[in-house]
Amino acid sequence: MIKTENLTKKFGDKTAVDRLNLTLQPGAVTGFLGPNGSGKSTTMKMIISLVQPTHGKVIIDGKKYSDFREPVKKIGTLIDPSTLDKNFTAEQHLSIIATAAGIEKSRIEEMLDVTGLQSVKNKKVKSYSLGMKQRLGVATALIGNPDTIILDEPFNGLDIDGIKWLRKLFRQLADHGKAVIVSSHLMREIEAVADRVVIIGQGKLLADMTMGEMNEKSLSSYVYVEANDIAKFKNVLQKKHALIKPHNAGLKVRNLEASEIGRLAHDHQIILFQLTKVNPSLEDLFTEITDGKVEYVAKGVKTK
Amino acid sequence: MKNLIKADFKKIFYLPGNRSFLISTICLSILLGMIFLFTTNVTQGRALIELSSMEVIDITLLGMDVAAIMLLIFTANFVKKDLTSGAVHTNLAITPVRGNYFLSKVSFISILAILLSIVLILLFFAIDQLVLSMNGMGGLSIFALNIFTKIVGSIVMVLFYSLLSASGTFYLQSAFGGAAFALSVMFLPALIKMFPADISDILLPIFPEDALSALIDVHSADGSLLRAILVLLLWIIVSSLIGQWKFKKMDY
Repeated sequence: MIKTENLTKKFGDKTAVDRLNLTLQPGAVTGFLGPNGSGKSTTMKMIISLVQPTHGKVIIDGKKYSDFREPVKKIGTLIDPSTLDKNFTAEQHLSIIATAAGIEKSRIEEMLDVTGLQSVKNKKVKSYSLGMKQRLGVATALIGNPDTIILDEPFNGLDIDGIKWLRKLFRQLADHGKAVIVSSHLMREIEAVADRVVIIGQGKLLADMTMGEMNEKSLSSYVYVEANDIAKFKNVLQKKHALIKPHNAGLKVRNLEASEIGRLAHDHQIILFQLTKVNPSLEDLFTEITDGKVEYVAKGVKTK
Repeated sequence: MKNLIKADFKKIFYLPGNRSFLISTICLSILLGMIFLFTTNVTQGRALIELSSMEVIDITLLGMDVAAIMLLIFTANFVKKDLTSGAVHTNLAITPVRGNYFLSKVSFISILAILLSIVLILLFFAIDQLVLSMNGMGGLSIFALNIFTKIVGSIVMVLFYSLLSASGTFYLQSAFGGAAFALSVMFLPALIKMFPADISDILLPIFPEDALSALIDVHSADGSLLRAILVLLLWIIVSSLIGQWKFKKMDY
């Protein structure tokens, strides 16, 4: 289990990460989201001691990352898909990592198989596409068979097959009890794979909850109703302090559960044509939660 | 630590660029050593056969200066490559204790410098023996004290400048900076010698050139061997501490 306690990083006057308290649990895929410059990468780097915190600390199973004798068996990371040297082949790159980390050689072939790089293992990395480099980065992260895998933007450059493969791999790793922490700007990918979502904005924790909890709490979720007497029903709902907004031929209702809306319609003898619970996409949620927390906005372009 | 050093040797073995540079270092050092030896007519106004055996080895060992320059450039590039974005993330994920990482790199450079120097010394020695026997000038014994100290001194020189280059690269986070630092330390004494004696006499002992000369040519050192070792150790320790301090506080 990884725990951050009041984790803070300042670069000069700018606070990149601000008193972040997080607990990353094993056996789950955690999506790490935030606008550009929100502090995602800095947080990930602080977990593995690439960046020194200004205040606070990161505790991994009761220790600091640097206290582990074999740290790559505790946490595997993909922070940057570039390798040690672009003139190495995939096999040579993994061989050097395995030697440096004291990992058995059999893991090299295993990782080449898992990441689908077996057929190109003798080609120089400089001839690889970005997607292939990402696969090699994933192989590097997994070579120590770590308990936790941290991947920064792993979907970048992957084709459809690659994305499907990565989703499946994350699921398998989480099912094997590993903690998988994935940052991505591709909301759909996170939505498809994450059990939990952590959202940070301007270095602060904005949300840390399961996808289900997030849907429940979001203002973007609503119940859509169509009825025979929409004006009468609107009055009924307003008396119950529902937030109502006309939409198409019906109403968007917030602050009331679908079952309660159905019961009210029945009590007031209103016929319902439609009663649908609408959950927002992760993108809607993200926009809602990070509203005003975006660091870099192009002038003249609305963010919502 | 042992694993990290082994991994660094693999990097040399796997990359033709690294191998070629080291082979070029050996070839160029020998070539220049030979050029120095066969041009004594021009440089010293004396023919080769007029030189003593000791002078012959002295002149060919000038090729070790070339090796020192080449290896300090290699060191700066090698260290910097592992500090570039991507590589440094992987390296520090494997070895998050930066002091250990620094020490492993310095140990690797030391082993490489010593190995390369030994190879070169053996080659120089073999060539000198050949030249001397061809000219009927008598042989050389590697175990003669004055020759042995020259050999040790030459190895120390190559090792010393490589370590300075490594520390400089860690401090400046740049291959050019690291190499420039070591080269400056190497060549500044030549500039200082142009100053009046009352200034140069104060400054020169601070620089390692005198100390290295003392090691290579013990007789000229006026028994100041201990002072020479102290000066060299101070340079290495201080530059390593500064390089390591900067490396430890860097965010990557």
